[in-house]
Amino acid sequence: MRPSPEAPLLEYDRIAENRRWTWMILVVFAVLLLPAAVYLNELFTAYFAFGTMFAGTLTEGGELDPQATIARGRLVGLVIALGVVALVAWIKFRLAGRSVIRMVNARPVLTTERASYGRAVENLCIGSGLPEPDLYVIDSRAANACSAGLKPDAASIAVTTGLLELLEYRELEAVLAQELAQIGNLDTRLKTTVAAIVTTLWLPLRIVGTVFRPLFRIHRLIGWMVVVWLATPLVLGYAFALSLGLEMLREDPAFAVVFIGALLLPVYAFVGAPLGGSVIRAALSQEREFLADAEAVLLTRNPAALARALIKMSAAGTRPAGIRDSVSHLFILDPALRSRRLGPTHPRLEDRVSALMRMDSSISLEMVEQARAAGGAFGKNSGAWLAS
Amino acid sequence: MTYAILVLVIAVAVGIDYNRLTRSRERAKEAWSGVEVQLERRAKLVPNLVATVKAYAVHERSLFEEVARARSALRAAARADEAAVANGELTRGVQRLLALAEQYPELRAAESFLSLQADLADTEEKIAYARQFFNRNVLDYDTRLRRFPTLLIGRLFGFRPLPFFEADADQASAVSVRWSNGDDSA
Repeated sequence: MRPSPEAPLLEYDRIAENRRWTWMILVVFAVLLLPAAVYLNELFTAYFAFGTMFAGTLTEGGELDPQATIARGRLVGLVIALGVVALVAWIKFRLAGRSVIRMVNARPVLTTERASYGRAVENLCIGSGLPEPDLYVIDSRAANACSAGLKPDAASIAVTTGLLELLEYRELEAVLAQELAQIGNLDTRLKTTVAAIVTTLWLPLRIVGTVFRPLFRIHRLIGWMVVVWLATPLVLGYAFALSLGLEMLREDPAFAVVFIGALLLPVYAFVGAPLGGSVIRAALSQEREFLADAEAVLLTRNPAALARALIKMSAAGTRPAGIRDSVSHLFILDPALRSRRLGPTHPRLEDRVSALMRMDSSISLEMVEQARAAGGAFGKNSGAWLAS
Repeated sequence: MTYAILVLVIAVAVGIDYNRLTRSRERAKEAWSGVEVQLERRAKLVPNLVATVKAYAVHERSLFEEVARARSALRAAARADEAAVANGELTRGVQRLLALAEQYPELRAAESFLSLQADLADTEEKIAYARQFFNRNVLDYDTRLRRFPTLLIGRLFGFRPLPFFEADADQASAVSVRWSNGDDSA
């Protein structure tokens, strides 16, 4: 029954690894923001050069070398732009803990909901030596749970009301142990950072989505008509402008480069940066989930409860209404209904359950079937499938 | 000169290892105080249980005394292994008290008894978790202490291995108290 001697050492290794990954991902984020920095740089250069020249005319009667002034302006502009980018990345990182828990539509837990939820977290914290996280609840009949926060002493756990209703005490405990394990080994820190970054990089797409969605909701045909009507001149004009820019390349290369660059900026904002966000998220290895499952079991000594919980939850439906795709990797089970083409965020349920089966021979196929049936019945009653 | 550098390097290495060992021992001690908090919590619940059961089962004097003895033995225990033994005694006593209560239907249905039972079950669980955390820390410390070259530093500065807080065989099945809702198939 004793934990294996490797376990604590492994834990420290994972903490160090997650720290490194968080930094690397922040650097990648700053790099992805660079085009914005270049744009800002041009802006600052113009302001600074103009300002100096204006000041120059006032004091010395305009005897300044314009070339040198622009060069100086460029330098100052670059420093300011890089500073702004670093600041944006840093602020995003610092505020991630609080903003992410808002993104999953969670509210603080009520005293009436605390009973077994609070008790399980309290006991697990005694067992793992972690400070107690803030408890949140997501009002939804779907069954899922997530954690957020940058540090173990400022972390939060959120569960859906459906989860509290669906799971028995041991199963709830197993799920919460999985979340606490991730808070402890800083998986949560990494995932929270990624959620904040991905949300930022997907912002342009989300704005467009918010504008067009109501039209599609009226009727799909109306939505498509508006999109085609707006997009046709845009695409044609774009092609024309691009060919113009390429032609200019021979006559005035310096201007052509700026022109083409300006043309490509929206492409970057709507395709490049979001794609970069997806790539960042796909880089989160799914090994993490398996390790977190194993750590949770090390704490509760009850692999069967975790297996039952995961099966029940996925059979009952795991998608709370109004959850953005950019935070889905925070959840214990993937809340997306569609299968992902670009980088799945979670390992397959079958693989997770069979990993747990290897730890505990008492998990039988019969038990799996029972859990699936129980979850399915719960999901059918609540209509969680229709929620989104 | 070369010797001076060599001595300095060794001194620094010994210092680092010594600090690591101390930190590990302090962690284990802190974990032990976590166990003590929970043991104390249960020790406070036991007199209430005794009083409640006493009101119905007056003639079981020897059992009440036995429980009281085990309780004071647990409070007096200084080391983890001693505490484990005393805790086992107390657990058996509590189990017998609860078994006794089963014979009195009015007692079994009493509000105060039910809440006591739930509190006891919760505390049992907290003790189990605190014990697990303590044992994990002790394991880490003891493993360090057994490894070369930390082994030598441990000997030099008088670090001793800490005992585990083991649950005895009876106690593993001791959690006979049920939650008011939910299963208890731990």
